[in-house]
Amino acid sequence: MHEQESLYAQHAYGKISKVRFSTSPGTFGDRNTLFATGTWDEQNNNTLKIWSLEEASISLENSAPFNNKIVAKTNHKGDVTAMQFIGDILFTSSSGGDFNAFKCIQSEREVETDLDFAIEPQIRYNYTLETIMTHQLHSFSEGRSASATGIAIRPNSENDPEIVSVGEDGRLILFKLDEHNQFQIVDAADTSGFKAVAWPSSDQIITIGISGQLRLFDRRGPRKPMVFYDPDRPRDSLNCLAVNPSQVSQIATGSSEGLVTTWDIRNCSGPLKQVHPHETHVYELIFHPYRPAFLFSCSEDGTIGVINLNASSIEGFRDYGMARENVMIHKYNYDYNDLAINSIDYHPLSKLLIGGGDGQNLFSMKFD
Amino acid sequence: MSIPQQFNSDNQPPTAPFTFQADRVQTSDFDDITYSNFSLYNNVLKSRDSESYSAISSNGESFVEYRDSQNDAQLHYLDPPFMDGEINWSGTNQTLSAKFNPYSVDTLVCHMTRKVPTEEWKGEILHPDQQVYEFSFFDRNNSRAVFYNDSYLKIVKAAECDKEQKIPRIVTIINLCKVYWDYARLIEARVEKLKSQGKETLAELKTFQWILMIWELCGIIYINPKKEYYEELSHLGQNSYGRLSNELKNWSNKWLPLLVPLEDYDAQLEESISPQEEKVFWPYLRRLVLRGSSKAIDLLNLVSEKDIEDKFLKEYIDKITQILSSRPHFKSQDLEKFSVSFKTWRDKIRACEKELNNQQDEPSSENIISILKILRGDINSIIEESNSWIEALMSMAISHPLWDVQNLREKTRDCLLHFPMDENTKALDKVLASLLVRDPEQGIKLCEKIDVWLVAHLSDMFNKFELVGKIRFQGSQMQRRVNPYSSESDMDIRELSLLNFAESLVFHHSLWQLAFKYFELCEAYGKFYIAECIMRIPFDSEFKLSKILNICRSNRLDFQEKTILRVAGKRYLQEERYASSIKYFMDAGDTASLEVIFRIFLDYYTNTGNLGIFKYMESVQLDESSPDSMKFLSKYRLFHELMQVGDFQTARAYIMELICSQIAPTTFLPVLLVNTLPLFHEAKKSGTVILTNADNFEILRNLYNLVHGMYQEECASCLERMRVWHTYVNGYADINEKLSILWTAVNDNQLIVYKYGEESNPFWN
Repeated sequence: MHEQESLYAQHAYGKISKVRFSTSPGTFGDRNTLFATGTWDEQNNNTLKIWSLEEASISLENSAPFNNKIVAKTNHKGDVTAMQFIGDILFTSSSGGDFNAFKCIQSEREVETDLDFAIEPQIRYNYTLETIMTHQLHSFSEGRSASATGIAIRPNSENDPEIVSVGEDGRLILFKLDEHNQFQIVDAADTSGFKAVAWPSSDQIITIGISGQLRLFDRRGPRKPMVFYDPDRPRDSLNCLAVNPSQVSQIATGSSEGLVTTWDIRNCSGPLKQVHPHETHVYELIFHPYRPAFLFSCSEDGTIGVINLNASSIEGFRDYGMARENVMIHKYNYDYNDLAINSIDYHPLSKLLIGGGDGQNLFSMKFD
Repeated sequence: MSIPQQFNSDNQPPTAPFTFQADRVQTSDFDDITYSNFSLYNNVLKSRDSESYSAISSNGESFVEYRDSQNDAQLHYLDPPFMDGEINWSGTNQTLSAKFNPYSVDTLVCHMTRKVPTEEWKGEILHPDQQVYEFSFFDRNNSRAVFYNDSYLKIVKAAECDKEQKIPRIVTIINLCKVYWDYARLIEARVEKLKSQGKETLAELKTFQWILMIWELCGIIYINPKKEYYEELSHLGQNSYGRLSNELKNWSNKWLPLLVPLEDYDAQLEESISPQEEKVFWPYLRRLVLRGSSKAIDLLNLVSEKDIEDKFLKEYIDKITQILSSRPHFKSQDLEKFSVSFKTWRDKIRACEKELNNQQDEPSSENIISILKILRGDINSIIEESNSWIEALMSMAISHPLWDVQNLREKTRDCLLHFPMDENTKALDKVLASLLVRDPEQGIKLCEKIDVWLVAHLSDMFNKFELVGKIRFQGSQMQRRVNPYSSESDMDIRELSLLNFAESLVFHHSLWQLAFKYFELCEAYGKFYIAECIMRIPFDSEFKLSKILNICRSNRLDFQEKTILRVAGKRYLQEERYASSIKYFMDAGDTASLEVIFRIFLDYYTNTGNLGIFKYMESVQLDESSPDSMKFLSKYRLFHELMQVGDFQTARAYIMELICSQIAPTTFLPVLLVNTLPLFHEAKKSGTVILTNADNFEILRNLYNLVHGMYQEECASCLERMRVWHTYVNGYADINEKLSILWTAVNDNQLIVYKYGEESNPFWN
């Protein structure tokens, strides 16, 4: 067990499946930093919430360093399985196979709460979430929906977003937001069904299948996707993937055995590096946007890991971390929490890492 | 017609009958159901077009809208339970009928039924009979979720503190004590939150107020003394005499109403010109003194500030004020010093009382004496002035600061003799009495009437402080379930309570994971419970399935894990999601089910000649330990791929390996042999050796078995199925029963091998 440091936690009112920061600080017409959380496993009460990041201006002992506030809330049909922001539009996918787009609109005056009296504190909303698009994209057969599992947005397509959605039905669906009735569907792109998708460069889409295979689709030709996997662990299934923002050919994957593996998609013969930061399922990986040697991970074991893939140049890491093959792992936990952390995201401007999971808490941590 | 008319007049006639026939259940079976958990449906209005129906309670206060988000088919119409004209409704002889709601896994629908002789039926509308209650086993609003998650972290923290063996016991006790009071803060926060939430949560507020009351009392009379004992033992501190008395004073003033009925006398007395002459003055002062309230001094000051003509009264009011103000405090004094000062103080009261006894003729002397008696702790006076046993006991504790928990226990018994408990005594009083007479096991047991969370967490903390141990269960069902052959029937009270609490969460749609975490905290039977419950958790996505499997893995429940994997595999098989199905069956080690899929694939190809089904094998990850049948399918797919790209040498190696492996059933052997035909043709066309003499021999051997040997029937049946597509797909002449085309091809190939010489094949040799 690695030495662990503590996270700050506050109630999130629901089992969190996804957390995402809004893409830019001035997106919503003010200087607030906003982020969204989505829940899962709440039957008909799954929700999508927008939070405003609020830090204590003076750090006093025993005072909460963060007091993030819910500024908007809406119901979400099905579990929230994936989430992405573009400007003031929030895209989500659901366990019912839907792709949704919500527009986050700032209200002129605060909206009175009409919340379930028993769950959340009295809240005054500053924003409203307006549904601008809902499409059921994934199903096994007519009338039997399949969970949508991932969405990715084509790089540099913010003005005319092009989106890829994948699901457990093994379909890969490409569409443009403005032309939302024209779908390019790749049936049985992975017959085992998909778990995650990323769009590293304009022409390449990479997916993870339930079977554990990585598939690299190249849009430039009709060729079959390139399939690769860890030859040492062909049966270890992968859960998540992340693309290195400064070197898009490098990706990282997290597996159900707690392994984090980096790959070079130009040469897929085998992994570049492999570390074992967690005991079990790694649910999400995020590269530090400015320091790509740092990789954040979260896991079923209830911890958040910070992995330095290039530990020789480390700064600020204390010497009790685990160093192996030039890799340093540092782990963070909240109190005695051992319930899964399902999702994390990092905001480079506020230098804040947030996470959420099955313990219905929202975790925050400063990371330079 | 004896049905209350409202049903006929207000409601449209139901198109669907009362679909779930109610079995009779006695009301007594529902003792544990609290009214707060019921949603009341009265005059249920059917709306066929909309997916909602509304209900208004008989008193018209609450409006309940029930929304069924699914579809019209799931609407249920709640007709009166009896449609028979011979039955009427009665104010007596009530029966609660209940049935599981067929459209929801966690709700029960209940309604009252009752009978009365027809001649007594006067035609009036009897509201209760029209009310239909929906009861959810769970808190549907999930309002406790935050509290449960927070308290889970505390129980884990307590477990970690207790587990730490290296540190001295006193440190563990201090840490556990902190956790105990952390719980109290959590409960208090919940109480405060509920207070701000209006009428709907009143019942829940009451429950949590009771929980907090019990929790704090246990902290005062069990936990703090335990910590004090260890501190004394370790020479870290000493018994702070009076602590118990002071804490009980605060506790009683927090929880016990000062005046029953509650009235605000302060304002009334303040406005009065001579408060001492007001009727309420003396009783109010007595109650304030009884509760050790500092307000008593304020009240006396109020009187002394006024111009009192009665010199006797003025003198004694000043005296009582002085006595109250000089009550010795215990904080920094040792026992000896404190005892002396307390004795002196009490002697002063006695002297004052003696003086008064000689002045019986004064009108207020009796009142002053009664106050002095309470102050010096006269038990009879205290009991006389108290409204309840608990108030009497608390007053005694306040006026006897040297009492320890043992004295408290004895006096509890005395108080209970004066205020005997009967059938109407509240559950809370019973719990408090049991705890105060230091019978924690009984106290915990009685807490079941209050809340299952309280029972679980209180018993866990008591166990860690070594206050409760095992209890004997007569004919315990759990014991029989867990170990039917064990003669032991003692069970850890902590574990039993935790299991009960966890069991209440296990089928909650959202908190089920917490239930398993609680099971994991139970060393003896936790694993058994996990094993029993985990297989019943429904899953509808891969994500949830992975969470469920992870619980099995972390608890090393191989059998359960494999069973769930098999269930997932079967479900996906029904949905024809073959790749996922194969993955789960392989993980489950279910070779029989894999064999079924294997046959499905082979049959599909034999019948249609379509290789489409083999695309599922692309996504199947195989390793050395994978079953032969799956390796076969994977290689067979590869063989066809190689044929398509024209890599005949490698394709030959694959097909010959598949033929020789004898993994395929004999019904598929003709297909494999026919699959070699393109290789023979290619060899003939290109004039190269693809199939060797050994291959020729193997093919001939199999051909002989099929055509002349023991597999003739299978061969004929297979060829019959192949005929539909073979010529069309492969472009060769139709195949006959003797497979003559293949015999010829082998013969031709022998000539080619003879002519060009046999090449060694890296794949085969």
